[in-house]
Formats: sequence, structure tokens, C-alpha cells
Amino acid sequence: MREQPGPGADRREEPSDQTTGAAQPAGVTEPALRLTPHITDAEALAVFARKLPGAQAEVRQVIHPFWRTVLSARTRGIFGRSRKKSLSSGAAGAGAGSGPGVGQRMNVLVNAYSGKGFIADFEPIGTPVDAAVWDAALEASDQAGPRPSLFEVSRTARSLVPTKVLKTVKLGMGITLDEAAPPRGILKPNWIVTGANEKFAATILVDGLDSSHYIVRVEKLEQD
Amino acid sequence: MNLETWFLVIYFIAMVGIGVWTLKIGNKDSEGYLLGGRSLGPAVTALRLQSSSMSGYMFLGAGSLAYTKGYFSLWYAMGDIGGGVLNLSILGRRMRKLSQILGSLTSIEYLEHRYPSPWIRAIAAPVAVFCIFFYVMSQFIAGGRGLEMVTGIPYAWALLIAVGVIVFYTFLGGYLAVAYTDFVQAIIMLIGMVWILIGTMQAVGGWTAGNNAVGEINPNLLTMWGPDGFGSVQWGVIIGAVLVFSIGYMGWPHVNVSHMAMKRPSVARTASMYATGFNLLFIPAPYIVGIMALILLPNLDNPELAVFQVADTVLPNFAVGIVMAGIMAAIMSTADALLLQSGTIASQDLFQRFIKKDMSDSQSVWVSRFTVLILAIIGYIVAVNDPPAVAEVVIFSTTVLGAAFVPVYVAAAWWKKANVPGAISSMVLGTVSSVVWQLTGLVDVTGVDPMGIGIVCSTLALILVSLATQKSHPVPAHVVAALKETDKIGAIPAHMLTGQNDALAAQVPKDA
Repeated sequence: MREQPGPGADRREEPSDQTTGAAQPAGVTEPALRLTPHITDAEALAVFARKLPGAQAEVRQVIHPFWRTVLSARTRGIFGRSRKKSLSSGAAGAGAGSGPGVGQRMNVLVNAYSGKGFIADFEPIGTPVDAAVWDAALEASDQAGPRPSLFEVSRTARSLVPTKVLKTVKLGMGITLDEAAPPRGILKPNWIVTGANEKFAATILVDGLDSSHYIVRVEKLEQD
Repeated sequence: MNLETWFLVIYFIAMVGIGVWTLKIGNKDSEGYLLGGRSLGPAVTALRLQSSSMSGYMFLGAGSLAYTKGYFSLWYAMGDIGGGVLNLSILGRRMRKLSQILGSLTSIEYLEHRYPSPWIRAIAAPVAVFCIFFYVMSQFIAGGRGLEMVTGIPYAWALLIAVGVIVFYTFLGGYLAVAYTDFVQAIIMLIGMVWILIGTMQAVGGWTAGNNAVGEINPNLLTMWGPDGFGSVQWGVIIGAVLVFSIGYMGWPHVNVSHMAMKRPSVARTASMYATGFNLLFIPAPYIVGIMALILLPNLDNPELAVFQVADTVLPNFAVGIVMAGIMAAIMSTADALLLQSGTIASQDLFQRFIKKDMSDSQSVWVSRFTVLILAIIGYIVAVNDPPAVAEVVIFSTTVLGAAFVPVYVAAAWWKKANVPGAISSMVLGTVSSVVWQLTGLVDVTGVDPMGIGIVCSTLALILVSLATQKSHPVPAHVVAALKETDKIGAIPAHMLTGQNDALAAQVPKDA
């Protein structure tokens, strides 16, 4: 689940609906969804223990805001005719497939700070939260700078989906992308694990969905 | 310049071209230089593994053996045919997966990560680099002699050109260059060898007519028991031959590294099919050509030149050029793999591990490159003096590699109870027993190959010592977890991977 930069990730020249404020921007109708973690706190601790054997550690859950967009991708044959057979659903996610003319549904999550996105190979499941929780999550990140607008979020998603679809169909086919659902805030769970053994103290961030990790800091402890 | 020389010049330019190309497409970090960024597909993996396993021996030694022993030589071919497939089937998928979970970049480092003790590397690295160095030196000599034979230029210059080309592309492109040149070289070897076989069969009037003619020279040559018949069979030698060339490969670090460079663990399955196809087409050919050389060239002075002389007799001039390129390809594909591996062991497994631990990735790559250069210079200086008994030393070196490392590599991937004391005693006993067996002359007395003795000793040591020390030296929990994951088919879960996910940097909260 590695995020990929979209072409709009570094260009934020369209200020029209830029999400600089805490409130949800226009066009977002549904409340944000707080995802249920796929990784337990014990598994997060196990990741830490693997990096720092013998360490005592504590773990807490944190959330990070993403924009979720749902796109329906449909390929066209060489004469512009839609393919009757829906695309393979295995490659890009749950919720895929369905009948002719609908195309393959893809969930794209775009980081509400960095503007980088990834195609989620799962259907987001969680509980709706109040706007205050979303606002607090936006304020909690240490990322500086302007946030991507919904336009940029959409552009990132639209650039990611074809790269995924083209891996599974013949080159030269056209792709039609339709927005299958309006953008929605998603609070992605992660785990912050802090601890130390006799030599090092460290803090790592463990992805709450796939258990990959990022070392936030590590310090060598003074030996007596 | 004759036609054969032109073919060699074109071949050398192509190899250098691949080296420059891989420099552009390859990653510049250690994983990129040493493992080609773990990006290789089944065809390159299989042919790289096969061509680096088969040195100039297949064009020189195999023909010689068949010329003198007849169909008895096919014992060696049988071992060779099964070797690559056994290696990929037994170690391929598991070693690829386990090495990535443990974060290993070299085949010696992999052993240390699986058996966590600095002693593992301190013992394995010198044994491996010593044996490999002798092997690479012999390939230099064979390359120099081959070039001298075709072009007529003095041996010292021919050797310099052969070594120069190998070092150039290995130095530049690292593993990716070695893998892609080996791939191309394997194809050239195959074309060359099959062409000779077809030409030979046409010249002798078909296989049946050829066999009839060989039977008139000595009917025993048509049997698997050698020219002196069943009564003179040395079963120890036969078992040793099959062992060296079949399971022996699994102990060669320069061959095993190809498992670690595969794109995915599942590549091993497809690669073993490619390897089987290549082996079935390529390996029997030099032996059969060597046997048929008895009819075409009955009074050959040097049996090692049987394949080349047959090619010269039955093929047109331009085809002889391709065959010579095939011989050089066989030699160079082994030499480059050996050179890269010995450079890697010296830099990563000895220098970085024990002398300068805080080297950056780029420093590490440059140390590897300069080690390759220094080893090549030393190899050249030794090889240019054409030391005696090199062939014996080479066979002995490869035997020691097999005896010392086969059980530890196999158990590393398959046996969860294999621990540090077991691995150390296995490597030490495997090395010592095969060396002592050879040096004390017990081979001649008993007729048992040192490989057989070495493998038995190292295997028993691994099993008995591991079982006896389970309580005092248990296998660490993270290694057991990695082995359990290796048992499963499928992608490695993110939490088992050593590397971090940099995309998560954008999700760090303020208060972390």
C-alpha cells in the first residue's frame, strides 16, 4: 500500500476549493468515515519488537485524514465500443465488477496533506464521525503547507486508475472514467509505537491497514 | 583478421554494450549493484544460473571425458542436467523469500542472518572467497588460452583482453550486467553447441551409424561402465560425480545468489522449467560430440580440444566463429559470476561486516567494484604464469564449496531446528573432511570421492549438533517466524519486510 504521487500532487495552482480550513469543503456531503484497523495493537508491537529486539514498548492509535474517491473504469474496444465483459476484479479492489456498462469500481485514497494517493484493495469499512473529529485529525498532522484541493484529489485519482487498469487489459484501449461516488473524508488508522531496549530508543509509525512501518526517530542510548 | 576473430570482436563489443546499458537502467544502491534490485524474471534467472554453473568445462572437459571414457561420461551429464532443476526446486522460492524477509544482500550474509552469529560469516566468507578465487583464476586461464587459439595473439595479451572485458562489464553494471550477459551467453552457448551436434551427426551418418562405429573401436565405450567394462567401475567416483554436479550446485554461493535476485519467489517454478529445457538441449551435446569425435578424429593429441576440433571439421568457417564465441561465453559467464561474488564477499561480508561497519550504500558499491578490480589484477598476475595443476585445484575447490555449504543452505530454508552451533560444525567439518580426504590420498585408497565424504560429514554434523544444542542455542523467534512465513505460498506481509514504507512519512502526527 505505497502511496503514489499524482501529477497534481505538487501543483496547487487552483485555489477554488482548496481545503485550507478545517471544515469539509463544498461538494462533500457525507460525514467522514473512521476506518477499522486491520492490524491489532499486538501486531504493531510485534513489528516494533522485530526492529528492536528485547524492547519494552507502548502503543497508541492515531488517525490520518485521506480523501476517498470512487471511480468506475470502463475500457473501450478499438472501434469505441464498450467491453461487455467487466474487468478482472482481483487487481484493483473490492466492489469491482458488476454488470455490463458499469465498469470496475476503484477506491482511491488521497492523502489530505501530501496529495499522494493509492488504490485501496479493500472496501472502506468503519464508523461515521462528527465533523469535529475530522477537523481535529486535520490539525493533528505535522505536515506543513497548503493541502490539495478536491480538484487535485480528483486529478490524482484519475491519473492513478488508468495505470492500474492498463496492466490488465490490452494496450491501445481507451478508458472511460466516471465518478461513482462523491468524495468523502476517510480517517485511516495507524499505530505509534514508542519503546527502548538497552541500546536504542525508538518511535515508529505502523500502518494500521497493512502493517508496513516508518521509523519516526531512533536514538542511541548512552552506555554506562 | 580471420572470420572467427571477427565473431569474437562482435561478441566482446556486445558484452561491453550490455555492461554500459545495465549501468544506465540499474539502481545505484547496494541492492541494485549486488542483486539487480531483485528484478529478474524466470528466463534470465534460469539461464544465468545455468551458464554460470557451467564453465568452459562443458566445451573442453566434457568433450575430453567423453572422448576417453565413452558413454560412461553421461554420469556427469546426468548430474548436470538435474543440478539446476534441483537447485531451483529445493532452494529457489524459499531462499528468495527468506532472504528478503531477513534483509540479506549476499549469499553469505543470508547464512549469517539465518544463523545469527558473526562466526558464521567469519568462517563462511574466507572459505568461499578462497575457493572461488581459484575457480575464477582457472576461467581466466581458459579464456586466455581460447582467445590465443583463435586469434593467434600471444597468451599474455589474450589473457589481458579476456580479463579486461569481464572486469569492465562486471565493474560497471554489477549483478544486472552479469545476469544479462550470462543470459545472452547461455543462448550463444546453446546455439553453438546444438549446431556442432547437428553437424557431427550429419558427418557420422546419424546416431545409430555413429554408435556402430564407436562399438567397433571398443564395445565397452557404448556402455555406462567405462572402456574397461563393468568389473572396473569405481562406484565412489560415479556417486561423487553425480553429487558434485547435481546437489553440489546448491552449495555454490555464486550460483545461489541468483535465487535472491528473482523478481518474485514464484519465479523459481517457471525458471526451473526454462532450466530443464536448456539442460536437456545443451548438456548431453558436448558428451555425444566427444564420443563421436572418436570416429571423426581418432588420433587427437589433446582430447580437451575434441569439441573444438570437431567443430572445425564439420562446420563452415563462420559457424566455427559462433562456436568459439560460445566457448568464450561459457568461460566468461562463469568468470564474471565468480568475480562479482568474490568481490561481494570480500567487501560486504568481510570489509563492511568486520572493519568499517558504517559504510554508506554508495561507498559499499565502490568497495565492491575495487575489490573486483584488485582480485582481477591478482588473478591475472597468477594466471599469466600459467601455474601447474590448476584443473585439479579447481575441481577440489568446487568440491570443498559443495561439502561445506550444501547442508547449511538446504537446512537454512527447510529445517527450523538448524541452529548456529550446527551450522558452524557443519561448515567446518565439511571443509576439513574433504580437504583431509584429498590430501591424505584416501581418495585413491578407497575410491570414494571427497565430495561424498564431505557431504556426509557436514550433514551429520548439522543434524546431530543442532539437535544436541537446541536448549542452549535455540533458533531465535524472528528466524522461526520468518521460516514459518517462508512455508507459505504468496506475497510477504508488509510487517515481515525489513525495509520501511517511506510513504508513511506523510502520515506522522505532530505529537509522535
